[in-house]
Amino acid sequence: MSRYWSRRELFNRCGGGIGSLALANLLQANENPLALKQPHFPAKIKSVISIFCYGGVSHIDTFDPKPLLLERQGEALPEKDLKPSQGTPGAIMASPWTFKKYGQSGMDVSTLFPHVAQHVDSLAFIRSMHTLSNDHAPALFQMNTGSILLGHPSMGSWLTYGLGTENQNLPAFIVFTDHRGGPIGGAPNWNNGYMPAAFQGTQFRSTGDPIVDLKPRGDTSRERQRRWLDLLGKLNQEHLAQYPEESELSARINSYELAYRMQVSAPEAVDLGRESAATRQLYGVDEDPTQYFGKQCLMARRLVERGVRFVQLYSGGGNFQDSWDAHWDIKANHEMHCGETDKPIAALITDLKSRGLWDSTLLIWHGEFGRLPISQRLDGRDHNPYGFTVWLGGGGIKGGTVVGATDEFGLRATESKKSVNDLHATILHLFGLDHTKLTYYYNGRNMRLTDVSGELIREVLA
Amino acid sequence: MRLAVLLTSVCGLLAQEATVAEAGRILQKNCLGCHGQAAMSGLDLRSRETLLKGGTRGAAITPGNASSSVLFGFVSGARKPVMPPSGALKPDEIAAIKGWIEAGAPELALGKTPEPKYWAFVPPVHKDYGGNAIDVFYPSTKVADKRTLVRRAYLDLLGLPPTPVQVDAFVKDENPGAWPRLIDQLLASPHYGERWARHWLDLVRYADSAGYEFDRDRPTAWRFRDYVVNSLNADKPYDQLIREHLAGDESPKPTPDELIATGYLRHGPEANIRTEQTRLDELDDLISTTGGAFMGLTIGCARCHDHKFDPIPQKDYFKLQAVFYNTEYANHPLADAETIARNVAENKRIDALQKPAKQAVLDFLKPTRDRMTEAKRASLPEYMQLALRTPPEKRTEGQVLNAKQVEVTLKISDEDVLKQLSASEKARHKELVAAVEAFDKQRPPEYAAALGIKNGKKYSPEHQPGVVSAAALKPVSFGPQNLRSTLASWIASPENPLTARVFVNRIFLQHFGEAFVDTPSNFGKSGSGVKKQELLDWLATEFVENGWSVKKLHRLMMTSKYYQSHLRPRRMEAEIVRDSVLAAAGTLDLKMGGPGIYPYIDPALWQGSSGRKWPGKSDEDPSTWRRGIYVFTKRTIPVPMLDVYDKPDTVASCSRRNRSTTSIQALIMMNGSFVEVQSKKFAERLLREAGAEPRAQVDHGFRLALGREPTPSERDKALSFLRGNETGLVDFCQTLFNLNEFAYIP
Repeated sequence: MSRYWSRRELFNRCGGGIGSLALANLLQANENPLALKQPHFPAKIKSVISIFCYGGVSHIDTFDPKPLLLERQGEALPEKDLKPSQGTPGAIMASPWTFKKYGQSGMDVSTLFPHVAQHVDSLAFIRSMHTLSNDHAPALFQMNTGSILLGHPSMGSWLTYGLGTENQNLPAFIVFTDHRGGPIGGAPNWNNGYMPAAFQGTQFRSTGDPIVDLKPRGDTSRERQRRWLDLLGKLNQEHLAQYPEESELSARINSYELAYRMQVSAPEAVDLGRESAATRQLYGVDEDPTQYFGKQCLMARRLVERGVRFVQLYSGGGNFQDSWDAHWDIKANHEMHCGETDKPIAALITDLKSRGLWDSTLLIWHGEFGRLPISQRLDGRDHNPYGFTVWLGGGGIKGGTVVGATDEFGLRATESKKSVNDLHATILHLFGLDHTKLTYYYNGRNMRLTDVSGELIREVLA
Repeated sequence: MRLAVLLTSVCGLLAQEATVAEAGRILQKNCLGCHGQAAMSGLDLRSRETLLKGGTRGAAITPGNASSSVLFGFVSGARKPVMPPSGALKPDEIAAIKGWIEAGAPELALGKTPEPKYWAFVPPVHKDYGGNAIDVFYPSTKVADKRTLVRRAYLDLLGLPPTPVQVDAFVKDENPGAWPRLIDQLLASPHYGERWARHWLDLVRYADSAGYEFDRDRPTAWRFRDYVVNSLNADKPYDQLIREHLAGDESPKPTPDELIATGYLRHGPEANIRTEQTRLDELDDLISTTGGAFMGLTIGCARCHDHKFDPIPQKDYFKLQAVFYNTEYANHPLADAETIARNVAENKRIDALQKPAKQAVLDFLKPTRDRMTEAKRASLPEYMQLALRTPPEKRTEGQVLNAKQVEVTLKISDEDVLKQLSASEKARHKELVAAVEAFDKQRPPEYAAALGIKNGKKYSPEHQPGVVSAAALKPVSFGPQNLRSTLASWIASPENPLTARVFVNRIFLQHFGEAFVDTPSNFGKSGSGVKKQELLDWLATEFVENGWSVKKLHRLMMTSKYYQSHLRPRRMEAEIVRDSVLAAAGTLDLKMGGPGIYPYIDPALWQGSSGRKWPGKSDEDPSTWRRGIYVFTKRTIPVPMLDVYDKPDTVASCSRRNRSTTSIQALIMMNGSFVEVQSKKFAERLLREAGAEPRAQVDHGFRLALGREPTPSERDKALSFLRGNETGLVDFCQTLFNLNEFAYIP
């Protein structure tokens, strides 16, 4: 997909303060902000797929085993002044699941993720993540935009701003929400904040036309539309002749042609009918409970194959049990969500590898925070921003790695603590971008995805 | 400077004097903006005494020893951040500083020479250019044709395309005063306020909801939007507008408008969980928005440290924080005291009557609920049951927590209880609930209220109120009360060097697509800088001279020859594109004011979480055919057609909309149901008004959509498109809506 602004607008808007890399690149890019741009140094990857377990997946029940919890179930945590988001903290509650070691690397995974467990040698676990808020919206915003405050551009916006896209006939930044609804915080999770709308995420639906308003309504045929678009083109050309120097006007003319092409390329990109029976089976797209997330994972593969820069898949939508937000009955909650996603995620890894896409794609699995080792509402767990696990796999990632650790209860990250800014800095690095140099001038400042912090997580780099 | 090298030569003494003078010049030019009177980090470089006294990092100089001098450390790059922050000194300049310190740091006495003041802090001076100064600075000879001019004027002032009758009226008016008369006529239209309020609402981050998780609606916020529209229509002086925004509630007997105006201080986003931290963030929103919107200063930068570019020390930030510190949320009643008292008394009476009815519902459900609670307790895991069985005094810490958790959180919802009831019990329950609800129906209607703020009693514990010191010509003294009024009077004063300049720059930008300062809310050193400052100053002083009349300012700009020349086309804002579609189709409902409207949004784009709802109406519903300014602004549910055209996210003040062109915009204009519906309406209108003759339809379509006849070649193309084309007229109408010319102000 192509989105443009004129050179003059760029200067006007940016007032000379825009990050020099981006400015130079945007000008080279013939004024199309999504044209391909050179990174700061050679990139390891071209695309990223973010699997967002919205609501807050529990680390201590999935990828960070804490045997002590069973031993001390029913005892109070040593940390007394803990203030859970919803009050009334209980005592220590053991994980309802058991853990096993997998792969050459012998990494621990619980029985919730038997399929993903087969791939641990290709994955890097960061068990020492922490975030700044225990409230969903700010924590979601931080994971997506680097800031707990509303109004900042999301990572997908930064990447498309910094690098453009490999395929002009598709949006560069695509988001699939869960079939049960969108996450808390809504559109600002994939919005452009203070950047131009050219960099905002486009929501894709996994059934019907992928993009809202992609196709003419009712019985309007493509031929009929082509006819009036031809008339539009001719009339626009006459108008343009009066303003030959206005690149913005020709860009707008172009945008209609790209839109017309997108009407074909977008449905093709997510047409799972073109996939073999074996592939469909691998992802579980024709069966419960994997059909929804399986489709999205398979679509994500098709999209990165076509050069889409950033694909984000939300697992979980709405509130409470519809999401990973297991304030009660974590057993039913996580069994449902893991059941829906484990096989598709493993399939995505297998499929990316078999198609030679694994080395050019980063797969990242995360929530907005983890969950507490104590009970809440008898059999649930409250939010834990102090320590949780994120895992990465794909291009540039050293598989079979475990970075950092939480304390013996899984409450707080203690060893090699990593912030969300660190994670973002690392992702940009894999794309060949120095997070301190990718800046956007706004409100008197060169803004960054990582604000004024962020250290590379070198331990996960191959 | 070669002088530093000369220092080692035979002419030692002379050279040293030159070096000292040079060092003085360098400090004067690069450092005193912040480390002069403003004394950032406590450091004042103006005299040897203050240099030796130093700032928060200790003495600035060690005479005779440059390498151990703090000041030299910063300018030489040995210490971070390198000073000055705008860019390191040149090596020869650094050498001169070194030479001066090594020479014992003789007195520079910089205080005696006046500091070079940054242009924006020097008040503008009125100069006579013998006529409209715009034409002195932008000489132009070519005048655009009258059809272009009339369309430009309508779109610019009203945000609506002129009707064919309006175009003809102007084109045929041969009188020399036709143009200013048209402008006056448009300025008198109530739709002028709707158009220009939109810019202001962007600037004051107006929204109809709070943002974050619940993104709760602010059902009375629209009164502020209407207040802005009405104020502009009434040509309320800008200085008064500022006073009302910042301190309307402090007026001795506040009018409804003054109370509504304080909504300005409430439009910022509101966190789901309000804490001391989020309160400080709210205050930051007020300081940053006020600094940017009214004075073009990025004061927010001084929250964590002295401003890196402008002479705004951190202490100024906290002076402003102290001004706003005692504000509290208020819902100002817009009713007389008697109505309010009656309302309160009536509600109290109903509450008392309703209480037993509510209890009856609870009592009715109690036996079933108790049974269910027992069963659930019995199903708890053994370690929880053990905690409950253990006598309270013998419980371990963990058992205390778990027992309490059972007590507090083991709750059976009404919904679950109802599932256990028999049909007759359910019927009885329904009766009891109906009895409760019957009382609610007796409640008096709620009186109107305005979202705003008021003064509380909690003043800043640490800081005294104050203003931006560098922009204050003389000290501003605050009394014990009405702090915001004092701030407002200082901002809305002809003596404020920024206020009028910032405002006229904004209006100029909107009319001409370019301005004197291209970063309209940042007149500081990190902004774009200024061009044609003399003209900016002329306009600013004229503006104040004319009693801060915004309408006179429009008139001044629009009657310039420059405005009537060939300007570059400017893309309309999202709202104006939408309004133009409705206007051309003849369906636009020009009803003004009141609660917002909800155009259709595909549920896939908003169905979400935490009760966030979008009660979107079908695009066929005429209630949605109103002007774009009336579209409800929900922070987490943007309306796609506006969002993709860069309507700002309303989280922070937006001084200048981005303008991107995207294929997603094209898709919405090609396939969205809004354009589809309106294309059909437009086609019906053409049939109705122009008849069945294709040529008449084409001509009328062009006049309605573009305010002009088609050229012969355009007409030919349209006619050949229509020939034998069954759906041709609707598609022709949609084509007109999608033309570049349709979406650009000529």
